[in-house]
Amino acid sequence: MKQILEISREMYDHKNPEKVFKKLDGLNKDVVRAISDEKKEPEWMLNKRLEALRIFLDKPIPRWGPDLSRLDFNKIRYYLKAEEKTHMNKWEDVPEYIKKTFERLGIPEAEKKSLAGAGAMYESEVMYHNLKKEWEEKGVIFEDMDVALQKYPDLVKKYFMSECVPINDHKFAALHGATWSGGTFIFIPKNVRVTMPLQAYFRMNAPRGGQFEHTLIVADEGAEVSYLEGCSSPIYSENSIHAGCVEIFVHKNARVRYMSIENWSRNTYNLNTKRAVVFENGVIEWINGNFGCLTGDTKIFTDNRGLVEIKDIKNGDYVYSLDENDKIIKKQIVNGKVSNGIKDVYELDVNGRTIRATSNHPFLALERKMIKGIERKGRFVTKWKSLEELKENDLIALPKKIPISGQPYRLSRIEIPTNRIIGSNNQYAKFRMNLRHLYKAISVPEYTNENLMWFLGIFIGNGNIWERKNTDSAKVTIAIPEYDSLRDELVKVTKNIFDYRIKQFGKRAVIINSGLVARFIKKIDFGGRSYEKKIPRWVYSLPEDQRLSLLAGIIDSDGHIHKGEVAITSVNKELLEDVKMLAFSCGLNASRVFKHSSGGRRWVAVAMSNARDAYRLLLNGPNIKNIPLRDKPKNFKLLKSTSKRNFVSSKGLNFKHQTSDYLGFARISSIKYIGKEEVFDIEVENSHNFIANGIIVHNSAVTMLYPCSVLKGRNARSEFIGIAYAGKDQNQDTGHKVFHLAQNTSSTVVSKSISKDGGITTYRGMVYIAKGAVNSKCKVQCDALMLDNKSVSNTIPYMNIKEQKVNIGHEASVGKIDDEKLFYLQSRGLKEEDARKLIVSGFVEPISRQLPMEYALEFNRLVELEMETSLG
Amino acid sequence: MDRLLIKNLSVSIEGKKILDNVSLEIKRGEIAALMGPNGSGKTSLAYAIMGHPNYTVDSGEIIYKNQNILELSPDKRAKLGIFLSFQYPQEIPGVSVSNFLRTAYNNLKGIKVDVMEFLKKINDKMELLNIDKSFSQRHLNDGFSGGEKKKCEILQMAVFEPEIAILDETDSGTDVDALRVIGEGVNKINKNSNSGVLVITHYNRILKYLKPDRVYIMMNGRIVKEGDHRLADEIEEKGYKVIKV
Repeated sequence: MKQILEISREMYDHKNPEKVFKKLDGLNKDVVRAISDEKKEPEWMLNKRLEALRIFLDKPIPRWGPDLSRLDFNKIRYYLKAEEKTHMNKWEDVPEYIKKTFERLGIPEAEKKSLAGAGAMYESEVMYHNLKKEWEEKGVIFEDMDVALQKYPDLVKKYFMSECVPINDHKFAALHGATWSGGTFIFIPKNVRVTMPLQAYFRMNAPRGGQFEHTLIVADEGAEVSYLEGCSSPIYSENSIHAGCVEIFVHKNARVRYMSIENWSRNTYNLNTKRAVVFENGVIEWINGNFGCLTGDTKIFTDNRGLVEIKDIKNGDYVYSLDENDKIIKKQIVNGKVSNGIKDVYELDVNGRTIRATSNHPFLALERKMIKGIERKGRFVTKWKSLEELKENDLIALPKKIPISGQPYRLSRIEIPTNRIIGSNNQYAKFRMNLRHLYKAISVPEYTNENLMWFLGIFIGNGNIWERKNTDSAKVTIAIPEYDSLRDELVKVTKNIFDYRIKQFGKRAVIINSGLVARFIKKIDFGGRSYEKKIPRWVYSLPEDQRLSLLAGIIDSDGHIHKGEVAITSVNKELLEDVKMLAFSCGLNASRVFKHSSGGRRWVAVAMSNARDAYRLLLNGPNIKNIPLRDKPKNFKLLKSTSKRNFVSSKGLNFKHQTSDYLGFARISSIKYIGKEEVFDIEVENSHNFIANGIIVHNSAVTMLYPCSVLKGRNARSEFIGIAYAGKDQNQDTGHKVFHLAQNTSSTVVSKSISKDGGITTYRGMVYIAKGAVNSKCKVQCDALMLDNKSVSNTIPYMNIKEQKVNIGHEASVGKIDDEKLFYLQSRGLKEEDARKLIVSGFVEPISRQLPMEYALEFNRLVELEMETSLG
Repeated sequence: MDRLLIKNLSVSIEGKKILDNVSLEIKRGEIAALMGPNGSGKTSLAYAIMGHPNYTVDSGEIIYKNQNILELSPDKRAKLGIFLSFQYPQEIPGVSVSNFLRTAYNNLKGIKVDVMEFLKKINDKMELLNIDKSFSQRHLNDGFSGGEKKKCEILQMAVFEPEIAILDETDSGTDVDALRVIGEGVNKINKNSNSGVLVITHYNRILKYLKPDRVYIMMNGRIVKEGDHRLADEIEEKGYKVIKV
């Protein structure tokens, strides 16, 4: 990240060094002038850039789409010289996972380097020159954008950011207009048909424009061209923003096909604008293949679904988010979730809460106010800071409590078997017995209550289910030794909730001899062996007193009070992580889960565990007194505890005025590099931050990239074909926008998606038909193929139709791979896996058919690769 | 061994018995016919031979090349040289017939054929079977008429040249011309490749073009009668009523 955060001095040194030096870290006129000057641009382009800059600075950040409030435009390096770029993009510097992916795809070495942005594809140079000569004779222009501006200023001036994507279109179009650099210019003269697709990698040695690349394609009347922006686009870059622009002009009777296969390394902010303007009888075709990755085990409290891992967050979930003005935590709706590829991740530890994030991920930090460069004592301000700006001992924000509105959970009914017959043999004969009479009916409350949650807490701590093999009879034992006062409480509670009277008492444990109670416990997901137990997700959306009761049960059985803190010991590390989240949800403070060798003897005995490690979790903070322990001696000690830790001061510093009932700050105890992991992000409405693993974090970015066709002339036509693949932990959001502005315009959208291993694909489309665009036709077809039962496919077609006389069609099909098809293909000698691949390759055929041969092959390999494993 | 031997095969689907102690053999170079009314278990037998996952073999064996093939997955059975022409072939959109034939051929034979050579082979076979050239570029069974689907099965058989071919109701849903093509195709492979063929049919139409060496009658999941081609004629004349169970 760091290398792009500084502006190169070198590029300014020849011009007005002092002045520029002062403004190094800003996007301002001087920077824009410097870019323009460096490129020796004509006056009009400089003026256009400056005008764009003015618009950019004026326009507010759009409320739609991704949140950008944390993006510091002053810290972006807007322009890179060619030699620097080659220096920065050495093959050795390309991450291993990208290299591996290329290898698995079977892409030749030279092309790989080109793809990775580390070099040009020299082998094709000769071929390119021959082609170029042929094209040039016909008047075809295929140039680097910067070169085109010098050589064909009039042409460029006519089309560049004028009619298609004007600089005042939106804030990022303006940003692009001010800072654009590099890209491709294609002009096809009247009635010229370029039969071979133009591919970006033929344009070698051209400086790579990187994040502000401008592609301008003009097909004059009757002209035809295909352009392929394949993997040769800068798919690998460490840019934090990608605000490229693609403008396509399809004149009367012309035809342009724009193909892109993207992309497994995503930029943090992907704000590309891709738009085509189509005139009379013109045709634009978009062919889009989209592959990407995301993952995450970060746990997020939701209001509607309890505790959810971020990778499972869905649009429409309610998460908790800090309102920075009022310093309160409230629920906000999730608008989107997106992948940011595989990135370096760091683990941040603050007061026992840990989170893994990329170095650019923002946290709310508290720092001393600086006035005129001097730190003002005692005055604090909050500021969103990226992880790389943070260091140990810095103060960052934590939620003190989360206002989970909380609803009791409706419990499912237990069916009592109507007939319970067992059969067996003895030495005399086979026999059958009806054991119906042995079933003692129990009652089960309709909703969770405090007694039940305490009981379940005790069960988590000391309970066990014993099932007899091959029958459904079972019993529940709860290890509470003789003479422990908790026994009486347990008997009382069991009677209260199940209407069941415990009659069997052992020396170490009480026995609830009821298969129904056992079944009930399993049915609400509390079952499992001691080291497998976990707290089910629904618990986290219970009312706080019920959550505290569960915690109390766990502490009554497995915890003790030590030096004013609650210590819970278990062999089950994941369970303690769950308990920690439960504690956070109740406004308690918790330590890290750490290895604890001396404790947990009782646990080990009960679990008859073979020397498992024991772990411990400590709970503290003033709110621990709220835990309604029923073990009297423990409760007595708890109430005496004096833990005041409440995140309003640290090491003698008091920052209470920056805190509230909801918000506190604590010091970072460590930041460690962890390695590469797939990362993801969610977009939260209004506030753009959320609580993850008990820490307040900002969301970083969302990709919004939908090609758009503007059908301006009669009979203009747009065709979009897109494919999205989502594997494990992936969420692919793709789509297309079409504006029908003239009569008889037509558009077709074919969106294909494949989801597998729980992947989610979403088609999001927009069709607008203007008043007067009579006889316009639009057909949207979404086909989803799901390779298993847990994958998801969404279709969100949005239509805004202002004209009556139109023809709109939407078809959606969702299919699975049919077992009969598999059998058919297997009977022809294909292994099951190959049979699946063949079916999938058939499914994506409408797209691969459109691609030039080598890309089709690459595309198919990519699909096959995705079938085998998820990339990266 | 030059025959596929089914010994005392009992098969059930979801606990329901559908084949009961069936014994039958398909000899290479011979044509056998399996006849019986609808629902008598003929297709089930074909699926059990090919290894359909829904069919549970309760007892018995199917021996081919000195091994009990019941332990093999469908693709391995196919690689042994067993071919099933489906009564209802599956549609595979997006996969061209020629691409499919090549993929399957490579898998069956464990080789990698030359693309151009193979294309020529397909064209030859199509000509032989009176199938239009454009056929190979269409997507496998996708939008095919019933007769086209059956032709496509026979084309596959002709290209793969299996040692044992089972034709499940290949004659149903076809017109007279297609039927003749199919019949000729079966005869050719039977003679040229010395293949053993089991023709499954519930009526006699296809037997006008094929002369079975052996005829089995199946009813209610059991082989109830066995004989030569005259048995087929008898069934045609008098129907299944004549069979006393």
